[in-house]
Amino acid sequence: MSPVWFVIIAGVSALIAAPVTRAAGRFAGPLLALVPAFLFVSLLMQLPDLPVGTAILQSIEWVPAYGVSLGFRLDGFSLLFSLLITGIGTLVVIYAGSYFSDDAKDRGRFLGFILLFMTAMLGTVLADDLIMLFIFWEMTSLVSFFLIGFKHEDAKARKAALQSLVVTAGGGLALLGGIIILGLTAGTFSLTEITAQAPQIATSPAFPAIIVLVLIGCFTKSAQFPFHFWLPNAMAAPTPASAYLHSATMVKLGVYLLARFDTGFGEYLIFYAPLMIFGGITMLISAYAVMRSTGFKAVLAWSTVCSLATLVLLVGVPGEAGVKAMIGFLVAHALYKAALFFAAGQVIHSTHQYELARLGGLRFKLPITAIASLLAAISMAGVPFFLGYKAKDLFLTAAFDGGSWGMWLTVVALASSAVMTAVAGLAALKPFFLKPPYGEVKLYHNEYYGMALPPLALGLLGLAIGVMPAPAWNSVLIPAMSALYGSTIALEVHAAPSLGLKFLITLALLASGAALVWFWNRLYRDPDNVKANVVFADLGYGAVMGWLDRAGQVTARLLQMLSLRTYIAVTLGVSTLALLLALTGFSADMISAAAAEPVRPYMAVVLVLTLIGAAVAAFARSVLISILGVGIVGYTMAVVFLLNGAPDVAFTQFTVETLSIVILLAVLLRLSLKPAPQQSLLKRPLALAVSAGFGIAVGLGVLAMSVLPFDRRLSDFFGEASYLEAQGHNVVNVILVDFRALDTLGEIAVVAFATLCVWALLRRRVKKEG
Amino acid sequence: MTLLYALSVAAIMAAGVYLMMDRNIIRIVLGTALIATGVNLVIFLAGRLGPTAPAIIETGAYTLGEDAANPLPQALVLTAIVIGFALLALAAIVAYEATRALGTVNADEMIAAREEGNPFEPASREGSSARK
Repeated sequence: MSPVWFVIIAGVSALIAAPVTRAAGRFAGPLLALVPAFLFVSLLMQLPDLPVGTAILQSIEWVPAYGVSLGFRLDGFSLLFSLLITGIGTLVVIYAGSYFSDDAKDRGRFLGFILLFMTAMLGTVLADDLIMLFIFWEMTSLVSFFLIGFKHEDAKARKAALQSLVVTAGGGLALLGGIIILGLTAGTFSLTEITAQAPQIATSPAFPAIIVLVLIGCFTKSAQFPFHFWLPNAMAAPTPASAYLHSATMVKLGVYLLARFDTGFGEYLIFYAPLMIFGGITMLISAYAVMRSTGFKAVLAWSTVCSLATLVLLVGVPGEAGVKAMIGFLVAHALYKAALFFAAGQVIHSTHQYELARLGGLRFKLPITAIASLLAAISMAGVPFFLGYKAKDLFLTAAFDGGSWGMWLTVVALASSAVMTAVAGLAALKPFFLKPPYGEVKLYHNEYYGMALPPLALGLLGLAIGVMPAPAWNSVLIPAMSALYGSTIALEVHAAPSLGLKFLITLALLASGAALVWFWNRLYRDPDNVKANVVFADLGYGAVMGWLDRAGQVTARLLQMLSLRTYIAVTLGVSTLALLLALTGFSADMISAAAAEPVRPYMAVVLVLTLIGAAVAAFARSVLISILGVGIVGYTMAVVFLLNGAPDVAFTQFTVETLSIVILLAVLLRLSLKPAPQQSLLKRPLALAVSAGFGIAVGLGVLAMSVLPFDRRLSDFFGEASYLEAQGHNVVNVILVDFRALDTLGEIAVVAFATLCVWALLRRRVKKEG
Repeated sequence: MTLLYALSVAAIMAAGVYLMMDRNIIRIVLGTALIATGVNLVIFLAGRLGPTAPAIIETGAYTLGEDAANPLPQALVLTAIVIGFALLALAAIVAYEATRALGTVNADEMIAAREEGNPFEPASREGSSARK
């Protein structure tokens, strides 16, 4: 199966999710889970075709003019990601089917979003073309918005959804900028080709800009400092979405893209130093924040931020050790964290209790969940014979090999590992195995199998890979490492721990984690500690959004003064100045030249009438007289047309002017209000100045126009072609209905729409009165 | 002669703008109508005046004679007149409806009435509360 089919099949399943759910009812979850399961198996079957160091490339032309194509790339790394996406996706769909068992409508909507999200994720990790990658990348942000705001009647959920969208889509814009500069510099959007010519790109002056923009995009997506705050808030999403998007897959996209860039640009300081610095800061912040969190999901969320930071940091570690540790930790984290979220969802769903502090003693009430949770926690804590142990072992190796960064890496690694061990104990053990501090926890319903078996599967998988490491490591993890590293990586994985310094450190970390759990109750009930949460919340985001709001208000007040007079004064004042500026090239001679022209006496009389009409219209005290003034101007114009060889125009003008006056008078008479006081001439200096200035400028413009050479080409063409090509004698008519027929159609449409509007307004009035 | 035409254009435009800056909404509508007329005249003048025979090809001839008026601006002005009329009719009816609904022909008062629902203005601003 070629890569594009994975995306297409996932996309179709998203489209049919809602109707299938309606039809299948309770079995919708397992039924729809067949799609990701099928994709998972198909991906596994690609393994033999994909020896270490190879990639399946597929390219479909899309926008060849801009060098954009639907380019797909399936190599060891994207295969690993795709397996995680479809594998955990299968479990999430089953889990969500149970999670929404009370509400069929929500279930269909949710499953549709989840499968749509899976499509976007597959598209992102299978993309070779960066533009295509970006489109799917943004699609994941959008679906994430809908899933965080899934409980849309909850104001907090809506706010969190908007926040995540602003942060991730804002970062997405930066990423797009980086991709476009990169594409222009490299002459291609293909990731494969860009990686191949990385040394040349690194010498271009645009290189720093590219790296900074791409880093911003990745940091927002993967919740790295200073954009770390959105992820804990995103926990407003239903738990299956938190497990899938905000822990196992989507938030790892930033890491994914960083790792892709690391293949080509990993040796450049400007690329890897920010990863180490910001990754390390994020690790410390989140490790501290997790100690201060009280919500079940909040603890898991902060620990996820910490894990993401670990991954970012490991991408930054140069050389083989970093890649090995990154892949190992990526897989281990995806398995145990999704399991812990699943377990948390089960606990919250059945107890309606969100606070970790109030939970305890559920081991017999939710037995399967308790076991799954235990398995996941042991893996997370890094106990030997579990996948998590190997991941931690590789992490420590990378930290010790870190060269000049070794000290920083070791400190951060140890600190965060200790806290993660504690979180594992806290999140997994406390609700189930510790005594409930405030008495028995009330259970609203028993364990749902649909929600208990998925975490159990993940927990057992972590144990299986730990005990029997060879199949998974050799066929999936090591090829992924090699694809990233660019050459084959040799790594022998044994189930049994190797004794030595690292083993001792692991034991010490376990002990310190246990100590933290033991003192947990005392630690976070301290009110000072709770207050400290504020430090890590979204104050900066709130401030920026507040400034944006205020800036918007100030601009709106400045520009939207709600006064037609001011608008006219500004626009026409500026236009007048511009016109006069453009006229500076013309001398006073043109006025004298125009004045010297012979005057047609009867025409002069007509134009004097026009002047009088205009003056009457402007200065009459009564609106009725003003209308008469406008009428005089209109009729004299008709005469002007008539006397200058335009009888058709003249007749139209006569008709229209008559109709206009009828309409205006009808409106005025029906209103029959007391006349509005008109301010006297001298009290309106601004109106007088603006209108006089504009009139003079336009008049001068007409004079200037008349001395410019005249281009007759169009008129001559119509004069010559009207009869020969369109068989019409009346040239004006031929132009209207033939040469410019589309214009005339547009004109008719405008009149039709105006008529419709007028009719709608008047009919409303008639109905009300009738 | 051009001087007189230019003077007329200036007068029509100035009168139109002056009316548009009035408070009475009916006068604002009149202003737009005047400006439309003034623009039509400018378009007409842009085709240059001179020959006064209509732009009609004589029977037996195949092309337009030398003494005929320029047909192009005439076609443009014809379209513009009709559109201007549609605009005037719509503006007049909207002004009428607004006046009936708000009980005033004063555009400033209409805006004040609208401002009561304006999210950018504090509710306690003078004017909005006085008119409640």
